[in-house]
Amino acid sequence: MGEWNELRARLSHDLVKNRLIPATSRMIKIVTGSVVADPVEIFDSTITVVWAETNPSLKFLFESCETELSPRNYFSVEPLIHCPPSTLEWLPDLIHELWLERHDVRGWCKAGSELAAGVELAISGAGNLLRESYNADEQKALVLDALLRLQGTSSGLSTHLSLIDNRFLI
Amino acid sequence: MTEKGQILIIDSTGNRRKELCELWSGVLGYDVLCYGGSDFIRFQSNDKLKTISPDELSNIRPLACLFHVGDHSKYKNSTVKKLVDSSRRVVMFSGVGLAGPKPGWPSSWFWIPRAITGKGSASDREWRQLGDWLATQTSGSEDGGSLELLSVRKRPQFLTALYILCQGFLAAQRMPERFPVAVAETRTRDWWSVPLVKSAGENLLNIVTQEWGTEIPDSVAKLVNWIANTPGSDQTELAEIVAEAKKELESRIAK
Repeated sequence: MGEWNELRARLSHDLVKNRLIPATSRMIKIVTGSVVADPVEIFDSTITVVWAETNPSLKFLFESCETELSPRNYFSVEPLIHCPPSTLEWLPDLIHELWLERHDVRGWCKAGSELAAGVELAISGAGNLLRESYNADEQKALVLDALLRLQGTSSGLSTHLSLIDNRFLI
Repeated sequence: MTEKGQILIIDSTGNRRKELCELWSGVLGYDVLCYGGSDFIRFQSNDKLKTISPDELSNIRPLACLFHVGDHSKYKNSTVKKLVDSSRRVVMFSGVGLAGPKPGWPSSWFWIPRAITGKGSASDREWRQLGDWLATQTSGSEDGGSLELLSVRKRPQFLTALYILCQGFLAAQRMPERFPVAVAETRTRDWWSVPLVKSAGENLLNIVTQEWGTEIPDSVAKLVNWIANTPGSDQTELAEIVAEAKKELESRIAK
């Protein structure tokens, strides 16, 4: 439970908020001409690298959320580990069920996976446009559009990752 | 300037910087200087901010510097570096907590393991204890380290267990057709005490009180006393107490 939450906090704070979003803003400045740098090189060395590090962990985070956060886990540690077998036959399942009724955990995971897929799509779209046709002036608007889409989806993912708090844990 | 000394807060996250400044100035009574990336400000209240002149800055020797990890690059700025280095102690913090020192930190710097997102990341008592420790003299060249005073908060195991048992009791009473055996079982003292007293021994009330942190509500105290079979607790009206205790536990655990 604690480790899952640490991973969530690290992905949200260190990777999405502090690396992916600033890297996208920098790319927008490069494409709009206010910062001079090689857009393809910067895109690959920042956004592509950060996403390669983030995406597998995000997938694990959303897939394992229900199992890792379930209050059922309290029955495998002190003090509820001492519950008699007759109680363990019904209470852990009931507690899990009530928890799912109170919190839309499955909805949170589904929305998170969709947002991550949206970021993935935006990154691959922006990357392809940059590599194939960045030097053509008429393509710059398309690249900018793709980067703005990436900025929007990354912000959405960052907000989503911060939606789980202590109230979700019980 | 107060007699307690000066606390320098370096943090570019505006809301958190404001909260920490209010805490160290208004609640704890220190002379607070802060830096978010542009000017050094003396914080007296949200309406009373005063830019510190370079002359004044050169004479400041803070008691401590609370330094946000994400702003470490500001240490390259010569003025920031001078002020940080002249602080009696440097304490690094982060919004997600810190497991250890980062490369490039001097060995004398401390770090806070717990995530610091604002005033609420520690109790007033813990902040005061931190202030008291910062006020102690350093013994020559002190080695930095993890500040265990603000270690990662442990989840309240017994409060959570008690909350889960309350849920089980109430569900069994509400849905007797689904849990026919549990209706009577959950009304017995053994059902509650076997897991809790087996782990806590005779200290159940003390442990629950400690996890609660402040004064424990009447309903929770009554329930715990009944579970622990404290003399005089026999008359407890279980259904009423459990419903009330569950509500109290729910809001406490969510904090």
